[in-house]
Amino acid sequence: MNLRKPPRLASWLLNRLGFPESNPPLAGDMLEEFQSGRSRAWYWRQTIGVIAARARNNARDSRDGLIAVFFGWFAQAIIAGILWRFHLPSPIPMFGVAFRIAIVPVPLIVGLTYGKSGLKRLRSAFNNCEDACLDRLCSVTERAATISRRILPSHLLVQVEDRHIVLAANICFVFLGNYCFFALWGRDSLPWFLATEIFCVVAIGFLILLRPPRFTR
Amino acid sequence: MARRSFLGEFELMVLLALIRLRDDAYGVPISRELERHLGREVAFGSVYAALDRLEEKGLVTSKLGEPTADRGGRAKRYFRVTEDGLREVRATQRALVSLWKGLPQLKVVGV
Repeated sequence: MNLRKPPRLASWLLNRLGFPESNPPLAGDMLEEFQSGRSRAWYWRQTIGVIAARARNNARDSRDGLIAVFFGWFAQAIIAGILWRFHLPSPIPMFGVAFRIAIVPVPLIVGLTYGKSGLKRLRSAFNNCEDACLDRLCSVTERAATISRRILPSHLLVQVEDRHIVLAANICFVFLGNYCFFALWGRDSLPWFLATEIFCVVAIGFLILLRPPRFTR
Repeated sequence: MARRSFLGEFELMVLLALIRLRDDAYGVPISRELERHLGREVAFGSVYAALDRLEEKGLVTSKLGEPTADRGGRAKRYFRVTEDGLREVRATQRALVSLWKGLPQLKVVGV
């Protein structure tokens, strides 16, 4: 059978950013339609549609997380602007702030796309690791392992929710963004900006704690 | 009055397409059915997003078929409307028909 090949980049994007749980049938449906004569442009449009639909779904599921992230970014942008204005006079003072605000969608999109699935994988890896450790422990003393197995999952993994993963991913991007920023502009005010970030992380943390959990494991 | 969630416009269309297709309801026929009646291209992403939401609400169920070579070894995901789904469609139909009744004749300027 001589099958037409869909655009390689579009297929890669679909597999990486499409719905993970229903992706095989969805990708199969798209391939079937493509084989029946649809154009490469159609395949691209559908791929973008799938990614957009997933981002929409994730945004709806992570509403609280998104609010927290926006709050953190907004607070950070204001404080960064004040610090920049009064402590770090620059030939183009607002450029730094504008840059920081302009890259807001990047961590949001990346965090929403990879945050949830990445965290789920991490959690599952942690569970597997814990099981392996407990199995080893079992050979030493079965009783201790049994008790640990009962206690550990319910106490160590409590309250790790999808939105926390999204937030953690975003906070990492904030830090990374700052390091890139200072590497590019060579300022000597890194401690000030790190203090700002820490403030924002604490603020976001409080916001998470204040809101009741919406997701279950 | 008890609170209940209503079907979205696209969710209702997807449910109606599933009812029309009966046992052959997987992504491709569902999208074609919707395209045929809507007269425009339908995104698979939107169809699957709606189906996932409907499944979460318990209005549809799905099961995987056999993987085939012309689909790159990927299985089909067949959808079926549940009893709750049918009840929801009927309730929405009743509400729409009731709202539609007694409306003055709609006139669109320029048509």
